[in-house]
Formats: sequence, C-alpha cells, structure tokens
Amino acid sequence: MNLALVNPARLFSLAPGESVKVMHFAGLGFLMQAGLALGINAGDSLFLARVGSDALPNIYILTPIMMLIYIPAFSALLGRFGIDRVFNGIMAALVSCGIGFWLVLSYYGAAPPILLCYAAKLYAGLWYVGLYTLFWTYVDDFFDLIDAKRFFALFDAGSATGAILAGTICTQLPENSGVQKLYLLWAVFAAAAWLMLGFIRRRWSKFVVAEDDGASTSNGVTDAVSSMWRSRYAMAIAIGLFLVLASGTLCDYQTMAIFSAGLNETQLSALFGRLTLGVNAMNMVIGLFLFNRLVSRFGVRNVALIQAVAFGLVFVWLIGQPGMAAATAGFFAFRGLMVSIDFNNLNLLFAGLPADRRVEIRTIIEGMCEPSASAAAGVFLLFVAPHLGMSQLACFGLAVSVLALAVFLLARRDYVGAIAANLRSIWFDMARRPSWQPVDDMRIEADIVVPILLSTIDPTPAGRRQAERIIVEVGAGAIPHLVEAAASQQYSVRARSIALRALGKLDLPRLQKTVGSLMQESALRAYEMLGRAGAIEDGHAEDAGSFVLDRVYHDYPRLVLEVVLEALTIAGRLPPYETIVVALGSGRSKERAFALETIEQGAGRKLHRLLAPWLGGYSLTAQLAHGRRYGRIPEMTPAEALQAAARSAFPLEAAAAVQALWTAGTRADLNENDPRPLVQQTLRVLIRRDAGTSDEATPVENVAALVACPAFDPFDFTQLEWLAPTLKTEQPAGGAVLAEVGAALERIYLVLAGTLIVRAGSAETVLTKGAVAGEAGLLGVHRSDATLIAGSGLRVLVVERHRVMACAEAFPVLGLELLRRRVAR
Amino acid sequence: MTAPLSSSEREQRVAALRAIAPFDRLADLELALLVEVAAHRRYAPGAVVHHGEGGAPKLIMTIAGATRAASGSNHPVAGLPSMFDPYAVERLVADDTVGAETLSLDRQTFFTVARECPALIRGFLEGEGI
Repeated sequence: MNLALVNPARLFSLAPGESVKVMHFAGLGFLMQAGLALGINAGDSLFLARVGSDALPNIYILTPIMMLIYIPAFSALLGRFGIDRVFNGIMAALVSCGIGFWLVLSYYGAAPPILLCYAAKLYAGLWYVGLYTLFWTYVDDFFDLIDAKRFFALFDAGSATGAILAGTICTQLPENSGVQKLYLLWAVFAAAAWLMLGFIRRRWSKFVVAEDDGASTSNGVTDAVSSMWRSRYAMAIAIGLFLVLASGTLCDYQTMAIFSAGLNETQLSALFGRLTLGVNAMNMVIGLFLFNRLVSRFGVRNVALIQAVAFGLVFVWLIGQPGMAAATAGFFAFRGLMVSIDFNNLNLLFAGLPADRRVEIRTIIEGMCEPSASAAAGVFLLFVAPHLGMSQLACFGLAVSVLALAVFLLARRDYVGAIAANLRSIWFDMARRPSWQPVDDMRIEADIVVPILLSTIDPTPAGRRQAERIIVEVGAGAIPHLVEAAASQQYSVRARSIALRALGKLDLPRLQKTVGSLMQESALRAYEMLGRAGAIEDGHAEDAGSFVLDRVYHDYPRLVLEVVLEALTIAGRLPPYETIVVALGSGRSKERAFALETIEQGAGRKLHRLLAPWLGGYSLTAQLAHGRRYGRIPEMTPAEALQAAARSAFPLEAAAAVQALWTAGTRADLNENDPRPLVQQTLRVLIRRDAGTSDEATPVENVAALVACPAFDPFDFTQLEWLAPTLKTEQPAGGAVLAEVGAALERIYLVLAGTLIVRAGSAETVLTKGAVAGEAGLLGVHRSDATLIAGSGLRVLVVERHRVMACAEAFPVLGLELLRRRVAR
Repeated sequence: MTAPLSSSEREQRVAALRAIAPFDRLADLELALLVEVAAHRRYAPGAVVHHGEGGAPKLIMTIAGATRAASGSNHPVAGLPSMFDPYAVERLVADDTVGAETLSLDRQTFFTVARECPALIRGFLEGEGI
C-alpha cells in the first residue's frame, strides 16, 4: 500500500505546519474527553447500582435546573475573567473534585450514601455539557471559520479516542473493586489536559476577532422570540429538537433500567466501558469519514430525519423484544448517532434560521430545548410512568418519535426556502429599488420584456440593473417571458442573467425549481465545445488559428462555470458568487477548498458532477475522459470541429477557425463579407497575403502572440477578443526611444522580432521575441520605471494602456484579477 | 442589523464618500446604495479602528477625521490588500486628535460592488486608493 495514501495530513488536506497545531488541540480534546468519559461512567454506575433507575427522573429534572445556574455563571465568569482564567479554574476544580470524590468514596467503601451518588451523577452531567462548551469556545479563539470547519472532524476524533481509552480502562477494573479509582484517574487526565493547555498557550497565538461594526438596533430576546415566532422553519426546528430530545431521555431511561438489572457498580462500569468504547469508535468513524458524505449524498434536510427514525426503531424493538440487544441499540442511538450525526447536522440546519436574529434564536433553541425536554420527560417519568409498564412506555416513546419525525418533515419542506432567503439576504442587490425611492404608479406592459432582453444597447452592469428594474416593475406578467428567456439560447448570456435575476425577484420558487436543470443544460453545452477541442487537438495542427482555438476551449468552461455560479446565487443556493469566483482563482488553498465545498453543497450532485473537471482544473485529456465516461462528448472529425467553430457566436472562435481552415487548405464556404468584423478582417488579410499584396498579421495572429506571452495569462478569450481590434504592429527605427524613465507609460510592447533595450539606471536588458516591455502598464501603472529603446530589426505588437484599462472596466473579473496582481506587487 | 438611514445622513455620507477617490467615479445612486450597506462607525481619538492580524478583512473608507495604518499610510481608503488576501490585514487607528468616522465593506460586499461598479476597479488600478 502506498503510504502517502494513508498520510493523515494529505487525507484531511492539512497544509504544512498545520498538522502539529491540529495534533495539539486534538490532544487537548483527547485528555479532556478521556477524563470526562471515566467520570460519566463512574457516575452512571454508582447511581444505577446504589439508587436505581427508578430515580433517574429526578436527575432529568435536576440537570436542567443545574444547567440554568451553570450557563449564566459560566458566561459571567467568561466576561469577567476571560477564557484562559476560566479554563484554569475549571481544570483546577476537576483535579481537586476528582481527588475529593476518590477520597470520599474510598472512605465509604461499598455503601456510599445516596446523596453522594446523586452528586456523582449530577457532577458528571454538569461537565458533559460544561466541558464541551469550554473546549469549543477555546478552540474558536485559535482558528478562523474556514479552519474550524476543516479541523472539526479531527478534533472530534481526538475526543472520541479519549473516550475509547476511557472505555477500555473501565472494562479492565477488577470485579467488585468499586469505581472510586475512576475519579482519581479523571483528576490525572484533567491535570494532563491542564499541562497541555499551558503548552498550547506558549506555542500558539490566538486568532483575535475584531469588534463587529455597525450600531445594533437589537432589542435582545424580545426581538429574537418575535422573529422566531414568525418563522415556521425556526419553530419547526425548535419543536422538533424538543421532541427528539424528549424521545432521547425516554430511550435513555429505558436502556438504563434494562442495563442496571442485577449488576453491581463495578459490573455496570465494565458494561458501560464496553459500550462507551463501541459508541465512540462508531462516532469517530462517522465524524471522520461518514458525516460529510452523508450530508453531501442525502442533504442536510434528509439527514435531519435520521434521529427520529432511529429512536422510533429502538422503541419498536423495546416494545417487541425488550432486552440487552434493544437497550444497546438505544444506547448507541442516544449517545452515538445523536452526538455524531444529529447535533452536527443541527449546526447546518441552523443556517436556515432568520439571518437577522440567527445567533439569538440559536441560543434560545439550544438553551431552552435541551433543558425543557429533559425536564418534561423527567416530570412525565416521575408522575405518569410509574403507572405504565415498560412496553407502554416504549409505545409512548414511539409516539413522541413519530411526532418528531412529522415536525422535521415540515422543517425539511421549508429548509431550502429558508436557506435561500438567508443567502439572498447577504447578497448586496444593487438592482433593487432603493428604499427611499417612492413606488412608481406608472404601469409597464409585459410586451416590453422581450425587446429589453434582446437589446444590446447598454452592456454595462448599470445598464443591466436598469433593465432588471424595469422588468421587475412589469410584475407577474413578465414571468412567462423570463422563464422562456432563461432557457433559450436565442438570448445572450447577459440577457439570460437579467431574466434569471428578475425571475428571482418575481417568482423565486419557480426559479429554484428550474435553475438546476437550466444550469445542467449550460454545462452540457460546454461539453459540446470540449468535443470540438478534442477533435481539433487530434488534428495536430500548429497554425495560429488552432493555437487560439486551444485557448478558447481552455477558457470557455470557466465562463460557463461563472454563469452557473451566478444563477445558483440568484436562486439562493450559493453565497454571493462574486467572492466564490475570486476564491476559486485564489492562490490560497484554504480559500479555494472552502469555495469548492460551498459549490458542492449548493450545486447538487448531478450539476456538481458536470462541473467537476473545471472546478478541479483537469487537463483537456482528463476533461475529455470525464465527459466520455458520461457520454457527453460529441464525436467529430477535426474538419467538422473547425466548420462548427467557424459558425460560432464568439467572433474570435469563428475567426480562429477560419484561419485554421484556410491554413489547412479548406477555403470553400469562407465568406469574405462575414458580418463579424474580426472574421472579415482575418479573411481579408489572408486573401491579400496569398495574393502577395500584404505581409500584415491577421487579428488572430496578433491574439496568438498575446496568448503565447505569460504576461497576458489573466486575459480570457473574450477579453482578448475585445482587445483584438485595438492591437497593432509597428517597426520603430533602431535607437528610437519608446518611453522615458519617469515619463508616462501609455503603451505595452510585445516583441515580435528584433531587439528592444530596457535601461533602468545603469542596468540594461535586451529583450527578444516573446518578451514584454512596459508590462506594469497592464496593471494600471502609468509611469515608466525604465527607458525603452528600439534595438535592431524591432517589430512590436502594441497594446495601449488605456485600452487595457477600458477592457478591465468592461470585464470586471479581469479588472479584479489585475488589481489582485497590482496590490500583491 | 443596522438602522435605516435618514435622508440627511445618507446625503452627508454620499457626499463624504464622493470626495474620496476612486469612489468619485461612482454614480450617485450607486453611492447611495453603497452607504446603505456599508457599516458606519465613529472612533474617539487614538481608538483602534481595525485590530490588524487576526481581524476580519475589511475595506475601510475614512469619511471624516483621519486614520493611520501600521505602515504609516494615512490614505482614506485602507484594507484593499485584505480583499484579495484575508490574512493581509493591517492595524488601523483613529487620528490622535480628531478621531475618525468610517464606512466599511466586508469582502463579499466588496466583490459584489466591484462587479457592479467596475469604474471603481479601474480607479483602484489607476492608482487611486492604493
């Protein structure tokens, strides 16, 4: 086996240097969780053996009361002393209380008082929540959002490994030895965690979060409750979580009753040790390898149904065959699935809560649901359950699980809309009607929609926004035209973008329903282009036309990708695409990885599979192989591909194909009066050259020279197409000064032949074919930092700086890339 | 959530932003929409406007008073490099005597504005605000 394949750093996309930091925090989680698992095991065993499962309802009621005191106290201490001192205090408490429990339990021996057993159980329950909050609050200070998301599973795995160790230790306890030693061990693990904490503080710096900007108008809890009440989705999540947790408490009660029958505390401890070991091994596998795949395969809203179904099945089992097997399944459902799947998935479900009050509503749900579900189940078990048999209790549990499932089905239906509303709300929509402008009473007829979409009067973003505003004013009457335009190739990419944006405002549900299939069609058209690329490459031609076509087919998928991302943003399936596009082109692997993951979640499986080669930066050969695997690549000969390219809607592709056909000797069907200036100019130069009346370069050859020059890599073929008519070749006389140092830098020179001398101070460089002088002008720099002098036999391709700037303005994606390079200089 | 602006606040901020290159290249409606979405804050003399390392990347426009970056720059537009590299953030403090009033954009909004108002990008490229 290739060891690189099992290298954890590679498996979890860790950058160099990150492994050590992740190991330290995973180690902290390991030590904290190992101690906690020992304490929980000891508390459960003592309580069940000495007090009995019948008294568990008291715990279910007391635990939330205890947490209602602990959580505000924890927050107040954090505010007063900061996380570091609070962490120190808690570690000190764990060490001293662990030793204290060990001493007191050893003193009482085989018959500890009932109150002590209650204290042990509640103490473990307190830290079950308390240490989780403490650990993740602390981790938050050291990692930004992107890192936290990547490392979450690894930290979880560290904690799960600690719990597995604790489970193993518990299974090794000698028969009838008592569980007091587990508290001493907890103290030892807490002390080790404290040492690790000190080491982390010395080794790693905190990630300081700047204060948030903006004056808050929040009215705290009142506004949050009102916002939650108005959101059906938020209410469904809150009620569903309450019901699932109540089911969990009922399940826990029944499983504990079965486990505790006839076992003493040491035997119980060994049993819980084995169960803890198994559950945490399962949780680790789910966290590391399964959870993300599950979410990606079935979606967050479907994964939300798993827990209610699991509890339902356990209760059915408990009704039919109550015994160790059913109880074990209940234990795994409550302490395994719920931790590793349901709670993690809940974090994703919270993304659909109303964006303006998300944090407050989340706090209310988490702070209220868990304690109130536990207390409600406790009260029920205390007052009603004593009159019921175990199977009747399981029937009641089944009913609660079914109710939870029904509520989550409702949440499932609302999830997409809720997420879309949130994603759309963070997208700055500059086409919206300004809030301070009054509504215009003038009626606009729907007939105007098609002419607006077909017109190409104003291609700027401001023009697009104006068109969109007018169409939205038309109202519902515009919708059929917009649906048709969004799907039709008769309309330009820009027109379809306007149609999608307007449709998103007028009928979002319809857009959401159709956007996936529309974008799949767009992606499939890119595969048709890929078919041409493959065929032309098979022809092995080396002329300028084929060279430019190669660039066209290299760039085209990127354009399609951007159109798809824009549409998904409009439909509320992606965060603002403008940032994602920049992140995809970013040199930082973390940003790129985050963008790729966001697209994978938003695009859906089918569309994502089509986009995979372009997102992954596959070579042309790999793209073709991917397309052929799914039967997407049309087979054609090189000549057929060139003929198809010559009919392209992209003038540069058509012109390049015409030149390639001309060079290959296929001159029939080439029209000298083609309406596209770039095609016409190319053909006329080729005809004159053949007749020996001209030696000028064709526009395609000029573009080919730019394509061959790395300085022009940021320009895609549409931008080169825009620049093509502005390019010209010149042959300055030897010794002519093209630019003085410190003087205006108005032109960029690409050397086609001869030499060009660059003089900066006493240094002199001679540029030859393929080199660029005045390259800084591409990034907007308007003062020359060198003197440029024509050498012998110089022939240059001239690119005007102001044309480059105009091109950057016409294509903001190019402008942003040039600006990125400019600020990085 | 920020409170809706009164018309006089909006006009005042638009006028202040219009006085800063390259925002002077934007249309009035674009500026008005921008000040609606930009976060607005006032800082006392010497107060920290941005923590620098570890802080969230922001494009910060000083519309009144003055700010000073760790590099010594007192340009009214700060944080452009952090739009492209979220780790390239610089500590920024308000002027020691007059303090500062700022508008700021997060990265997502910046890139949307850049796409919607390409004149701004051209302005930056031509050296305004860099």
